[in-house]
Amino acid sequence: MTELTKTLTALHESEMSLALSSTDLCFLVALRARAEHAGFTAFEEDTLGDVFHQVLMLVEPTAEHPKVRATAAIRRLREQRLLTRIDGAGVVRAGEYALTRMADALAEFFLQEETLTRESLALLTHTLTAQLEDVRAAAKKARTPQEWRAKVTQPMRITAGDLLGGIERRQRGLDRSQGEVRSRIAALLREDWFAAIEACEALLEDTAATLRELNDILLRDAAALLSLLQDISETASQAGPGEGPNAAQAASQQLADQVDRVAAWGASRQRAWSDYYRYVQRFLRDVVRLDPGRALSQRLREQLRGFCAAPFYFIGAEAIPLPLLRVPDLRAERPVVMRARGRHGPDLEAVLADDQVLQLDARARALLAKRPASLSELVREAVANLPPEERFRAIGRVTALCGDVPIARSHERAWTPVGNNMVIQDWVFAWRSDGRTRAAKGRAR
Amino acid sequence: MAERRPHARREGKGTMSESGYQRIEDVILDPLFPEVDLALRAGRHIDVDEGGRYELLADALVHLETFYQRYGWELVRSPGGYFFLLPLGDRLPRRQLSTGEMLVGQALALLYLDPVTLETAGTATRSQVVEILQHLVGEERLYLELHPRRRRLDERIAAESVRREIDKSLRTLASLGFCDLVDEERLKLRTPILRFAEPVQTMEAPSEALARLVARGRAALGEPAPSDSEEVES
Repeated sequence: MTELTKTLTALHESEMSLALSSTDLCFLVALRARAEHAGFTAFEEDTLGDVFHQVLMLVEPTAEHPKVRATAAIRRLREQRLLTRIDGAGVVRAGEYALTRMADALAEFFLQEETLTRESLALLTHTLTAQLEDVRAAAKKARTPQEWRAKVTQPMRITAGDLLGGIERRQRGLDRSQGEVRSRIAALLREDWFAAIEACEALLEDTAATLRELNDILLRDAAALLSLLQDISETASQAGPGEGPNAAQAASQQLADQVDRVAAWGASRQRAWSDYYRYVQRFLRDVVRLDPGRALSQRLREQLRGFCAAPFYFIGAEAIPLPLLRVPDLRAERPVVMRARGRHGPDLEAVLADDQVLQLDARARALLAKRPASLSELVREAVANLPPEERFRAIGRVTALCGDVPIARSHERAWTPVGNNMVIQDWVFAWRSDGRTRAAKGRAR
Repeated sequence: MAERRPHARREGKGTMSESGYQRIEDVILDPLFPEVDLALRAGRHIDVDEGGRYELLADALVHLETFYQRYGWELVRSPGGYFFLLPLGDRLPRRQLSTGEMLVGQALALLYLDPVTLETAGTATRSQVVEILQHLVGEERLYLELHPRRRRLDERIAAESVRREIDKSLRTLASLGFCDLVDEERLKLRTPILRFAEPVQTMEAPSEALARLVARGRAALGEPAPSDSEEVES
């Protein structure tokens, strides 16, 4: 399990969280400002109460019970490890408190955001270079693992790492400051439009110049720093395998990665600002200067509003579609529709009609003419003289002859025996008085 | 961003003319010419952000104007700093933007003119486009304009359907060089989008300016052909 995983697991298990109201944050920032102003390293309980009271009067003038709220605020800050009691006297007497590192960082973020300037960057990189030169000299003299750790690895990890961390922190500050410059340019144009051109251009130029200078310094100094780190790494490599040299090589590699990151920041920010710079300059030239009264937006808005009533359409070129030649093989040949010239399958032969079938049909028709009451009655008489094995087929044939006979409507047709252990689902015939069948009636129409 | 143009055109050509190219043959032999030519013929607007393509057009304008004129096209260099081809007659196919593309184009032009878009260096969102259109055109009208074969607003599918039509128009506008689609939501506005503000760019009456554009063959009045994807309302 890595250190980070352990830390995250422990954080989650301890259910650590931060919940600060706006007043709590103001209290924290006010405490930090008071500590800086008065040179305090700790606060007595009364001082905490005073500061909270002043904050409350400023941000919530109508608030009631300031002492109760001060006690609650101090408790909240202590519970969230932002304020710590340092006297160790317990409840015997009033305590003495100090801001924790986390509280310091939070307050510092709001009080004074450090941004990268030409001076601060030059100072930081010079100090870092001097520090790494010392480390390089120490690496050449180091013999024991203790010397490697105390004079090479630790200075690189702590001092040099902190200096590079300082540069990165200030870079983030400058990123935020650039974001603010963009917002300011947009706000200036929204408010003053044409009159804001000069101010916008000045803001653009300032930031561009700052980034250019910073990038120059970073490019120049990053090369020197990487060269020093390479020397340290080579010295450690020549010292042979061992705990000290190995740790020094790893620390040197880590710092080199950090230097690369810092240098890449400069190039990427300068590129991004350059794109933004060109975009804004074009906007100022093509839009703001050509439309000092800012009438174009309004006129375009009106055009869009009335577009549906009086539409118009822009015209432009369109590519000529290239004719796509087809491969002839891919097209299936369709046979021409025509009459078949020969007979498919075996030739048919003439045979004599089946007498039994004809006789059955004749008998069934004769019985039908007598108007039987139901299908079962008809079938029973029609197949009575036939052998048992032929009766099943004969019943079907007789039933088919009843297609035109009117049938009475019925929800359920009864199963009726017709002899020889056979049953059929019966139809009750509904003979008309004029004797015509349904089909005959249909034809008459 | 497009790549910078190689310097092949300046090799072994002796004295440079004012245009940067001595003859039309030099322009055609430029390695970038085929893609510039194809892009223009497909209706694309080429602005300074396209780097080498724009440089080629700017340098070879004198030759290319005559070259395209012979085909019946006008190579237009707009005061806004972008190029496009305009068909002058009926010999070559012409593209007429659809109602949806015109509406979306005007909304994008409005966003381009808004200082708020400066903060993001010209990046806008599709939601902003929809918002502008719904505000200025009206929800029902917008729906009906984007679906010319429908007679009434179908509220169940209106929002989704309008969004789909706007997306379709944005894709066409992007292919014509008016904007770049960054991702599913964001798009980058380009200078040619100001073409949609042409009828109101001068202080003359918009109808007169429009009539002038129509006379020059840059715009047409009336109804465009309905989109093929439209379903007929039953």
